[in-house]
Amino acid sequence: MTRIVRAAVLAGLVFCVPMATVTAQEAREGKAGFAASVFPDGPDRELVAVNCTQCHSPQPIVQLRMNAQGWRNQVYNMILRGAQIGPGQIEPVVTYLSTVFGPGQPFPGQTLPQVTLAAGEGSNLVEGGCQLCHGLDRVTATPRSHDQWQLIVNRMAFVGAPLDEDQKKTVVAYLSAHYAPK
Amino acid sequence: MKDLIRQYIDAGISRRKLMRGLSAAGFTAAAARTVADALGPVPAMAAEPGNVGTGQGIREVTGTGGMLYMQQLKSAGVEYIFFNPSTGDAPFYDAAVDVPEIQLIKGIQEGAVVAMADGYARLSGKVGVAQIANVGLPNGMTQLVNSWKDRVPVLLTVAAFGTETAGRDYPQDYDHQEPMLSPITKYFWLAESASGIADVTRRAIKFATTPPTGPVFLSIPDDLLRQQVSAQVWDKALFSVPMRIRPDKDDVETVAKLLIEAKNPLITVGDGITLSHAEMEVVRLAELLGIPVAGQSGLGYWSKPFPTTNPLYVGPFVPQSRFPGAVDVHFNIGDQTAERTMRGARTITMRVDPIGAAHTWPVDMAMVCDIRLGVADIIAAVQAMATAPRLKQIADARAARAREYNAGMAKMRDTIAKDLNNAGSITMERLGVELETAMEKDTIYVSDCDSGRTMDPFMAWGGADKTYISTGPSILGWAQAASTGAKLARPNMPVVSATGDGSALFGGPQPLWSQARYAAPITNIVVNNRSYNNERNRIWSIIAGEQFRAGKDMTCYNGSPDVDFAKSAQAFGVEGETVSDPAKIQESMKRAKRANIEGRPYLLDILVDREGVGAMSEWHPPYSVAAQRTRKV
Ligand code: HEC
Ligand code: HEC
Ligand SMILES: Cc1ncc(C[n+]2csc(CCOP(=O)(O)OP(=O)(O)O)c2C)c(N)n1
Ligand SMILES: [Mg+2]
Repeated sequence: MTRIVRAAVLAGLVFCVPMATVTAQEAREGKAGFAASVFPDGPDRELVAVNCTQCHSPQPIVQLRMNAQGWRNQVYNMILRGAQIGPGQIEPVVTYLSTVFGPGQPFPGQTLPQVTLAAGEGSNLVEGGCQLCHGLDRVTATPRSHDQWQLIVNRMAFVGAPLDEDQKKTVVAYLSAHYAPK
Repeated sequence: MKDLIRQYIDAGISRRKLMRGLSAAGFTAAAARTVADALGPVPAMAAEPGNVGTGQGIREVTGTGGMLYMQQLKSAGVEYIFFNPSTGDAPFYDAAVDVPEIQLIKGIQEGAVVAMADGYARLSGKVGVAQIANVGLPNGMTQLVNSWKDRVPVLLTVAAFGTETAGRDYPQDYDHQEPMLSPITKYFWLAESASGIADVTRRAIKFATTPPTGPVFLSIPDDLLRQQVSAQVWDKALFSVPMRIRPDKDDVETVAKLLIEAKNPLITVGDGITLSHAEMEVVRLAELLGIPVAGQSGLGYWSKPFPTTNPLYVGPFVPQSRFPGAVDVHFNIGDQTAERTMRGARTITMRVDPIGAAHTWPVDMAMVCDIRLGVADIIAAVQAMATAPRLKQIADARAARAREYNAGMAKMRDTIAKDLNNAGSITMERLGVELETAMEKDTIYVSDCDSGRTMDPFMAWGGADKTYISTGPSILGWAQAASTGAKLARPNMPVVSATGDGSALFGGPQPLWSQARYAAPITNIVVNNRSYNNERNRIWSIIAGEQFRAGKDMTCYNGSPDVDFAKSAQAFGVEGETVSDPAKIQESMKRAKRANIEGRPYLLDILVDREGVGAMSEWHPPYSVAAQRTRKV
């Protein structure tokens, strides 16, 4: 993944250095350098560009892909930490995020690595459903137990992997057959 | 007399005038002072000065160097010594046999000893005294960093290696430990004579307790502790420097005028208010002018000085806030990071600490003073500048907007809590809601819980509600021990400690041993997600390197082995239980409360969801030493 922001953003988080802060006007005018430019155009971009960069850079956001319910939980968490999103702004923010950083949205400048999956029932589901948001390398990198695959596949479905209940079962069975600890 | 009091509160007549009036009405000086204190806002005047020339407050002590030290602590009003012993410091404890006024509280790891003293100091406002073995000094230093960053008055003492043998490289000796403390103390000193021990002890306490307060380190060679000497010890009053410094009058008027005339003012609040005991004055100022108040955010704060249920409280400070929007006058009271520039706003900062003020960000006006006095002066100036009806008009208009904003926020928090409550397991938000129900309103809540930042907004803090105490730098392993010190300082208040599982393992279970030995009725909560959960989130998101890319959590998973905190508490003499069902939190808290009422500490190991990126993963780099062997031994 391209490193969009290289600065020591941790300092921004922990010590509240106002790094990458974008004002509403700058966001509107698209003048705010990388902070605004990494947020693609779309309705309510300004809300996100301004309110989601006051404590950290855009990096944690732009590297994720999630559906509306995944982003909603994330936005809730940030509101509890102090993000200035108002009651009427949650849905616009969630809609923006789940559109421009939703499942299937590409990562600019990045090609996903080619991974050849082990043959078996369910490999097509993994191929089709598990690289909408990241590479298959992340799926196959680590052997995991059946219980672990169950939890992870559930989470992936929650944030937007397009699998119904039967397909989830097939994927879990496939992954635990081929990508489990020896 | 009623008129007199009304004039004092509403019209801002001077305290002196009030006292004169009360004494004319037949009050003794002491009674008048009590009345005036109760009315606030100006803190008590110093007691009548004594007369050192007649020897008042001074005692001659003859005994060992250790006795001199103990007697000086006693004269300084020290009630507790938190300690862990070694051979060299035995003269302290030999002396303790004959100084029953000082209670020894044993900790079984030096970090716990220092954190107990720190927690005691934060809650009592007095110096917390910790004595540890010289060889265990680095263990205690970790927790002293919390005291240093948060300006907590802790005296850390060790018996140093003897003067005669220093430099011989004896088995345990590493000479001149003092400079190790240089970056984390206000003052450190090696005693150079036995007769000077009381003198250096006084000086150390003076440095620790004179604002801006902070930790100090004293090293006393063990041979000096054993020597017989005579020297004076002094009462605390004779070496106290109260620092009741008022701000410049012109500055006060300037700020009062700015706050009255501002279109959209904001007050930010920080730990300086807690250290100056200025909570009530800040509420009065905010309410007098209807100014919204923002609290602290992120790391770097250890108290919540403004009542979070006050309609003027608008949540944590960020430089571009939705409410009150474009601020024109930003008055920061006692916070370091809230000096951050708000675009378009004048920044005025009031701090106890001249070093902390205007340290990182540009400010338009820095006022250094006792915050309680400073805010009281601004209140008086505001009242002198505008009539009460005009002030009310200004305040009402501003407060109405804040109230509306707050109502919206409260509703939103409810929605969030409901949406994030999956009923089957314990989310942080659910836990926040449950604890808010379960805890007494006057609980002292001692927190070392990283994930807790998302449950804190569901609980009410400050004012008539719970007291929140944490550490600014979040050097973990503090809370269980600190809560023990807090309970000693406030035995009649309910005390709850909350730690992450990571934090509980940095500092525990040793503090539980002290809680059990001294029957300290504390409810200890372990918020157990079996992970360095927030650490993983930051590593994966903020650093966003290879671990995120590969979906491999190389460092943060704590399960495997899964620590059974209830069992480990039992091993240390504290009853405990595990809670995994959200519907059972109340029952468990009731059992904890019952144990506390009966005088016993209790521990709840609460199994909570991991949340954030990579939360589901239990993978950790596998390795087995047993599997490496070629010989099965
Ligand atoms: C008040 C400060 C603040 C603001 C404003 C803020 N964040 Fe965060 N954000 C944090 C903190 C603190 C973390 C690290 C969380 C942790 O320690 O687990 C974080 C982490 C994240 C992460 C990584 C995943 C995680 O939960 O740790 C994402 C994604 C994220 N933020 C998105 C957002 C979005 C979207 C917004 C705007 C709606 C936003 N942030 C605004 C403080 C903030
Ligand atoms: C809608 C987007 C999306 C889809 C589709 C998706 N993932 Fe993920 N995946 C994520 C995100 C976001 C993360 C980052 C960590 C997190 O949020 O848990 C992640 C992380 C992972 C990880 C690292 C471990 C962990 O818990 O974070 C694994 C393994 C994984 N995904 C497997 C899968 C599999 C298998 C599928 C197909 C069933 C899949 N992913 C489909 C979004 C997705
Ligand atoms: C003494 C100490 N060591 C290391 C750290 C770095 N650190 C910060 S948060 C954290 C993990 C805390 O885990 P836990 O207490 O379980 O909190 P959670 O995020 O899971 O709620 C660590 C190791 C620290 N702050 N203090
Ligand atoms: Mg944890």
